[in-house]
Amino acid sequence: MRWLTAPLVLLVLAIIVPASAFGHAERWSYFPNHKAGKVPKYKKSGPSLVVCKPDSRKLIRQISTSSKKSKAARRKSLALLPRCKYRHIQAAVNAAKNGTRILILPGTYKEEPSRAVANDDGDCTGDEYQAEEPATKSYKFQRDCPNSQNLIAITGDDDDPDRRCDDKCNLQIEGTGARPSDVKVVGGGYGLRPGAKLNVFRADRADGIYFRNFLVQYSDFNNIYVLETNGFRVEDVVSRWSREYGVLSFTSDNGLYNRVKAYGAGDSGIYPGSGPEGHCKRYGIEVSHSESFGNTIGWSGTAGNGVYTHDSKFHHNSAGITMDSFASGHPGMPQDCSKWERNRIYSNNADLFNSKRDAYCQNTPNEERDPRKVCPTFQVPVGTGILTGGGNGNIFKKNWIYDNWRRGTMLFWVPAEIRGTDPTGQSAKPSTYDTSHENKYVGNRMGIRPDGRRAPNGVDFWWDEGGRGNCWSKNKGIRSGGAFTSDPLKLFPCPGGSPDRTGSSAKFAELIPCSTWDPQTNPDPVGCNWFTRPSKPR
Amino acid sequence: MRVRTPLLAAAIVAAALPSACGGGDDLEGGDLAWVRDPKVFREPDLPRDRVLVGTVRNDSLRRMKVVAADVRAVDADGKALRGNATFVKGYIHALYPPTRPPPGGLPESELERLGKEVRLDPGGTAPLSIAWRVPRGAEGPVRIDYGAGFLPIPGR
Repeated sequence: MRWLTAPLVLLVLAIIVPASAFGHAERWSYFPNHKAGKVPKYKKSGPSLVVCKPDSRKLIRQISTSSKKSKAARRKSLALLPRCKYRHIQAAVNAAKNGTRILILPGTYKEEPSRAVANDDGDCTGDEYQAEEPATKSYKFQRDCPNSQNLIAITGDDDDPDRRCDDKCNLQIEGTGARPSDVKVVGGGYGLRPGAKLNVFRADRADGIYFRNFLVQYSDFNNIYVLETNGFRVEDVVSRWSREYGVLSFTSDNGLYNRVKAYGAGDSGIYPGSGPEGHCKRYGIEVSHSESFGNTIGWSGTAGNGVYTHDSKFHHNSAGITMDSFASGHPGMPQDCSKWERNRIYSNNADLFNSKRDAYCQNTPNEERDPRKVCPTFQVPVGTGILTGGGNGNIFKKNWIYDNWRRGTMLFWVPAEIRGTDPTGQSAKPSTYDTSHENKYVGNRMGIRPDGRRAPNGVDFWWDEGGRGNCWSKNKGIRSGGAFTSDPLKLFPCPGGSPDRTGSSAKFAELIPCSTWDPQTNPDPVGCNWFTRPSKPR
Repeated sequence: MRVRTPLLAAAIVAAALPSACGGGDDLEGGDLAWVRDPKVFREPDLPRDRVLVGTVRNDSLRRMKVVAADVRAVDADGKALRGNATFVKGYIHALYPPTRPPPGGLPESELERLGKEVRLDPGGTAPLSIAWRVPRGAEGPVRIDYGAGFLPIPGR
């Protein structure tokens, strides 16, 4: 296959790329054995520890009694109050054994003892704490110095070499309020701000972890970070204002994001990256009834494999959804086999790359920034619903995709060589044109709201015209007879789809300059129109 | 059913010059040469921007390192036009957030992966994309300056 009219000889890339995760250097990470884990179920009984604040009683009494649910939460919280022994969540985690429920009474939890720990804890320096990559922290580091990078750390693996949870497994960390915002877990903010931590919660080899019913904010990277964990559940959680990600899982399996609301992330609100390796035989992570808005991206996942996202809403981001094979350091490459069904992906036109915002983000040190003002850390084509940049075997079915002023969907190839070799051996060997193939867009409603009102996308379907087996069937638009718009005009029906071929060089000419984006040095690359919000289509 | 899209793909605005591949052009000097005719594209909504996409070859007998930041389209006076260049042939993304580089800066492997620089053995090739913006009322560039030499711009 050839992309340009003239064959391009590959850039010689005998490069072992840094073993890193999702944008900051991370130790080499490995998928758990999915057969040995499962999505945790809610536990109503069993051993529990209670965490509270001095004002918890007052806050509990302020809980409304107008509904049955809030009345029950009030009653339960008051009953738990006498059992409260901990003022900080980390303290309760430290005391917990496998299967413990950690019940957090209404209040604001800043975790002051954790904030006081230096970000490079002197107790944990030395060769024995070096991970495989320089400047990354080993699991042992996280285990021995849990609050160096994390406000609250749940590290479940002991000293054995199996990378499986031994203690701190199956913890249920749960707010007892009537709604998530009754329990606020607050990070120290961004950059060099005293007490700032990369992660508010870190669940590392913490199989069976269950986060429920609280609000979390102000991480310097991830509000909730789930790594190398077999079985996790994030439910009724609100994540807001994080410098990079809201809720992020990585090389984890048997996961569920349920009723998660995420907003204000500099990258994405929800990130199931380096997703489970089901290879279209199973979905290992489910995102259900969630909502992500006001982020640079609503949902993203480099190597976001095997994720089933349904009945959720992604709106008012700069881009609604991106899944890709763009970057190195993500086991499970290339991206494949995620499914999107019955979601609403709309109005993703947030103008976060304008000159005024660029200037603010360039000129304000991270620690002095208003954390509620999103500074993008990832470049996206503003006004796009779903972007697939190097992905295979994904299914987009019966979604409502509307009011995305540039494009409803984008599908294009990413050259495999840029990924480099996965030093963990968990990715396919790069082969230049190993994306984007076998993606199916079926039965989607384009440019129309569920209530029937017209809300056109700039173009409904944009495709670089490359890859085999990509197909579009039974989609309906707002033009005469249910027609939709597309670029190119000719799309291929399912099954069968497109013949095996390379994409349009003209379309790649649009994409390539956008790679040079840098918020500090090149916020508006010449030749790239991604960062100007398109005008509203008629 | 489909209807015509309101957006058209980027148009090819200039064809390659047959002379672009060989030596002898007075606007070409140095060790890099176009392997084949590069193409120049224009996005409909960026009328003053051009994107040149091609492949270069190291025609010297020594290993070369070229830094993308040194590759600029220049006008007849030798003045660089605003623009950017990269040695990649498709869209990619940085591993490290731009505001959070690793201690000591990006490693060489990441700089190469991102197309910020390239090392070419004799005879080695690499994709090269250069974008430039023509100032209002000004003439376009006359050549590509890559620091150690020049490449011609096809269609001129």
